[in-house]
Amino acid sequence: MKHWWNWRKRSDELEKEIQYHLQMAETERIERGASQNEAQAGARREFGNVGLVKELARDTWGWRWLEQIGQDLRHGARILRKNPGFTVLAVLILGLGIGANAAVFSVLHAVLLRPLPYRNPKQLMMLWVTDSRPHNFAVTDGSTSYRDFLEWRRQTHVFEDLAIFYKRGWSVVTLTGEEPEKVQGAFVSANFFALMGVQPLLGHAFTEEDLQRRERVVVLSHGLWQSRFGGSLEAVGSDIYIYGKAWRVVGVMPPQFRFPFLAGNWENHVEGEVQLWVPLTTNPSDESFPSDPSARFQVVARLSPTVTLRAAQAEMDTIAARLAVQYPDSDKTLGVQVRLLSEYISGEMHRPLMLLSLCVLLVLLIACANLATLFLARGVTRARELAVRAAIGATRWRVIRQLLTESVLLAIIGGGVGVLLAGPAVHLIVALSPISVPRLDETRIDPAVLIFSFSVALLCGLGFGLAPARRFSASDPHELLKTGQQITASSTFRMQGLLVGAQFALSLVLLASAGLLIRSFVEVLAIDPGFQPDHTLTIRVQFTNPDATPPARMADYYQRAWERLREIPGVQAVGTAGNIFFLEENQNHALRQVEGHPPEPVGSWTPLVWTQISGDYFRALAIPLLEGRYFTPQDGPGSPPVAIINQTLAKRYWPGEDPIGKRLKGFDPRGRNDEWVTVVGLVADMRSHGLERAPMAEIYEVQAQRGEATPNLVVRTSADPMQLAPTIRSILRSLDKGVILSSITSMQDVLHEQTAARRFQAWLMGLFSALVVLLAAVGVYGVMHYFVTQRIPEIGVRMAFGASGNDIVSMFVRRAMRFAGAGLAVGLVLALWSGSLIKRMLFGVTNSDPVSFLGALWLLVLVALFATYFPACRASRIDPMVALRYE
Amino acid sequence: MPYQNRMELLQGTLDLLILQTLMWGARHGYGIAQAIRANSGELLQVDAGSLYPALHRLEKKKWIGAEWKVSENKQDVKVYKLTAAGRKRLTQERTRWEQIKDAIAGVLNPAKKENQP
Repeated sequence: MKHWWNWRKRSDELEKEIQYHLQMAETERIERGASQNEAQAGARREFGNVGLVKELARDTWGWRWLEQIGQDLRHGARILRKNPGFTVLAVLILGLGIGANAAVFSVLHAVLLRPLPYRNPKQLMMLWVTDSRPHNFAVTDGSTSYRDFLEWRRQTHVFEDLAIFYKRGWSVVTLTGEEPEKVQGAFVSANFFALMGVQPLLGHAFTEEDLQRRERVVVLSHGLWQSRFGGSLEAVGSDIYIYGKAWRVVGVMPPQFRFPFLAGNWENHVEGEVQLWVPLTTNPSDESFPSDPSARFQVVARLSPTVTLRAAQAEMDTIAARLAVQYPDSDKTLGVQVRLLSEYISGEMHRPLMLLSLCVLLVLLIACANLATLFLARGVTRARELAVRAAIGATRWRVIRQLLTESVLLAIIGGGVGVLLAGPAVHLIVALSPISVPRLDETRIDPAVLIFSFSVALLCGLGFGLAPARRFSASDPHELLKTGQQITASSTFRMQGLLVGAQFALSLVLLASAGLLIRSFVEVLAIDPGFQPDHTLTIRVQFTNPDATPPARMADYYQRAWERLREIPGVQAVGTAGNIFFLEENQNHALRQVEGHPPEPVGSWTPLVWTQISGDYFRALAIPLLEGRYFTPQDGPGSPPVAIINQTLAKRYWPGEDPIGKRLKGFDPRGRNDEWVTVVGLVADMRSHGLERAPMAEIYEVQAQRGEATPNLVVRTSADPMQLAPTIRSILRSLDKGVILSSITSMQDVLHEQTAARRFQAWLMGLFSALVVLLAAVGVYGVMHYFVTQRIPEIGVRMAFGASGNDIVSMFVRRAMRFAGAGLAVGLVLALWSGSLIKRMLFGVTNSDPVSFLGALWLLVLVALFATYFPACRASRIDPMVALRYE
Repeated sequence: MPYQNRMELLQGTLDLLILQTLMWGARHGYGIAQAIRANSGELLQVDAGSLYPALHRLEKKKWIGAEWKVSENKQDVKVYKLTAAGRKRLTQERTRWEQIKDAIAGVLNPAKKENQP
C-alpha cells in the first residue's frame, strides 16, 4: 500500500516535471516569434512520445514489475469483461469446486485439525485399557478401576498428572424451583481442571479445601449457566438440586470448554452434552467417593514436556505387567495404551472425513481439468492477439505472465465465489450430518478457511493457466503471423482430449462410488424395521431418582399413565419399555439355563437382550403376536414369572418347535434371575439392534413382575402423533410432579435419525455426482465446440467430396468418444479399486455392484454423446462453400 | 526502439554532461537540456526520452539531489543539484572521459604515439 502511494506521488511529480518542460520549450519558441500553435506543436515534436518518456523514467525507479502486474491485471480484467459468458462459466465452475472444498475443509478444520480447547493439548493423553480376553468378557471402553488408577498415579514418572472422569449413570439432575430437567454430568477427580489447564470463567475449579470441607460442590458449563441462571454473576455460591440434594455452584467454565465430548449415536444425542462437573472425593464416606469396586473410569493424563509418547507407552507397559502379577484376578489380561486425547475425541471421524475430503478434491481436480480445456480452447482463438503482442516486442515470459495473471485473476474471483458458497454449504453439512460429531457445531468460515480457499484458488489458477501458457511458449509467433495458421491445433486437441479423458476417469470413480453408497442407503430404507413407525410417538419418562423410587410406585405410575393416556381420543395403544433400541449392544450372551438344553459353548453365543415392558407395548408398535398371548394385568408380582420371546430367540433354542410353555432362566450375572420363566407368547422380530443389523434374540418381561424402570413410553395414535404431544405431556406431568420428560419424538423421526449417517452420505455423494456430470458435459462440449470451429475448412472439403451431414456427425462423435472411452476405461479400473476401499460402508450391495457401475458408465457415455452431438450437428449444417472460404 | 538505442549510446557521456552542467548551479530538466545544447554549440541535442530516465537514475544513485521550487509564474518546478557524492563521481567520470579521449586519439593517430618513447 505504501509502495503504491509512493508510486502515485512520484508519477504525479513526473507529470508536473514534464509539463513544465513542455511549457518552457513552448514559451521559448513564442519568445523567438513562433505562434502559439506552432510553439506547442514544436515543443511536443522535440520532446517526443510523452507516454514513452514517462515509462522510461519510471523504469529507473525499479518498480517496473509492480506496474506491469497492474497492467496485466487491468488487461486481464478487460479480457474477462469482454467474454462474460466464458467468465461466468469459469467462475461458476471454480466457485463450486472451491466452495465444496472450503466447506469440507472448514469441517475438517473444526473437527480434526484445530487444537483442542485445553492448555498444550498435544500433551494430553488418554490411558486406554486394552483387554486380551474374548470380546464378551473384555473391557471394551478403555476404562479402568479406581484401584488401578491410583496405582498408575503412584508408579508413573512420565506424566505431569493423571485425572479421571466418569460420565455414565449420572444423568438426572433437577434444579431448584423449576421443572426438573435432565442434564448430563460427569464425575471428575479434583485435579481435573488443573490438568486440562482451563480456568473457570467465574468462581474457581475444585480445590483441596472444597474436598476437605466435604461439601457438595459443582462446576457448571457455560450453557447451563446461561439457561438456568441467565448468565447471572450470582450463580456462583447458589445451590442447585441434584436428586433432591443441594449442591453449591463454585465455578462456571468458559463456553469453549467442553469435556468429555459426546461422540456417536442417537442415545447420546438425546442425553445431551455434559453440563456440569462434580468432584470425586477421596473420603470414603462421601457419596461421590468411588467406592464401588466395579465402577470404572476413563483416565486422562498430561505427558511431561520432555517425554515422548513412545517412552510413556513403554513405562505404562511395565506398570501394566507389574499390576498383572500383583492383581492376577482382575488385571492378568489387561494392558494400557497411551493414546492422544485428540485421537480419542475425533478418531472415529478420521475415516469418513478423509473420504469426504478425497471426494471434494476429486471434484476440484475435475473442475480444474475442465477449466484447463476451456482455457486451451480460448487460448487458440487468442493465438493471434498473443502473436501480435510478441511481435511488437513483448518478451515470451511477459506474454506467459499475462496469461497466468488472467487465469489467477479468474481463480481468485472463483475463490471468492467459492468462499461465499462455502457458508451455506457448511450450514447444510452441519444440518444434514449425523448428529454428535465432536466439535462439528463449532464449524466456521474462519481465517484458516479463507487462507486455504485462496491458496487452493491460486494453485488452480496457476494449474489451469499453465496449459495454454505452455502451448503458447511452444509455438512460434512469427510463423503464426506469417502463415496466418492457427497454432498447432492438433496437439492442442490432443492435450484437451487427455484432459477430457482424465475428467471422465475421475468422474466415473466418483459416480460409481456415489452409486454404491446411494444404493446402500436405498437398501437400508427398504428394510422392514419389524414394527410400524408411522402414527407412533415416543417419550422418555424418568423419575428424579430411579434408584430411590420403589418398584411398586413405578408400576403404579405406569399403570395410571397408560390408563389416562388411553382415554385421549385418537390414542389406540399405550405401552412402555426399558429400552426400545439397543444400538450400542455389541456383546454376545447366553441364557443361564434353557429347559431341555445343555449350556451353550461360548463360541455359539449371539447377541441377546432382556427387556421389560408394560401396557400394550406390542400393539403400540404394531409388532404382530405370532403365537400364545400378550401380557395381561393378571401377570403381577404374585403370579408365576412369564416372558414373551421373539422369533430369533425361538429359532435359537426351539427350531421347528412350539416355544409356548417352554421355560428358561436369565443371564443376570448377579444371580437375580435364578428362577424359571415360562414363555407365554411369541412375537415377530423387530430390528432393535439397528436397521442394518440382523434382529437379535429378545426376551420381554412384564414390568409389574420385575420392577425396573421402563422409561420409554410408546403411544400409537390414529392421526398425526405429534399433535397429541402437548396433551400427553401435561397428563404425564399431572400424575407426578417429579417425573422428567424428555425427547418427545415420533417413531418415524427415531428411525430417520438412525439412517442419518447414510442419508448424509447419499446426499453429499448425489450432490457431488450432479456437479461432476455437469462439469463433464461442459468439458466435452467446450472441446468439441472448439474442435469443430478448428475443422471448418476440413469439413468443407469433406462435404465438397460428398460426405453427408451424418458422416460428419459420426466423425466428430467417434473422435470425442475415443477420448471419453479411454478415460472411462481407466476410470472403471480406478472405480473398482475405490469400490473395494469403501466396501465396509456398503449395505446390501457388493463393492462391484453392476447396477452402480454400469449406471455410472452409461450416464457418462450419454453425457459424452449429448455434449458432442450438438457441436457435431452444427458442423454438419455448415455450407461447404462458406466453409471453404473460411479464413 | 530508437530511444533505447540512443540512450545506450549516450549513457556514459550523458551522465557526465548532466553532472558537469549542474556544477554551475541547480537547474530543472529543461534548463539542463538547454545548457548542454548551448554549451555544445547546438551540436548535442539531449532528447527527453534520454534526459529524464538519466536524471531519475542519477537521483536514485544519490549523485544529484532534487527539490521542488516555485517558479516566477508560481509553478512547482523540480530542480536538480549536485551532491557531494555527485561531485566525486564527476571527477571520476571526467578522468575516465580523458582516458577514453586519449585512447581514441591514440588509435586515430598511431604515428604520434610511436614517436613518443
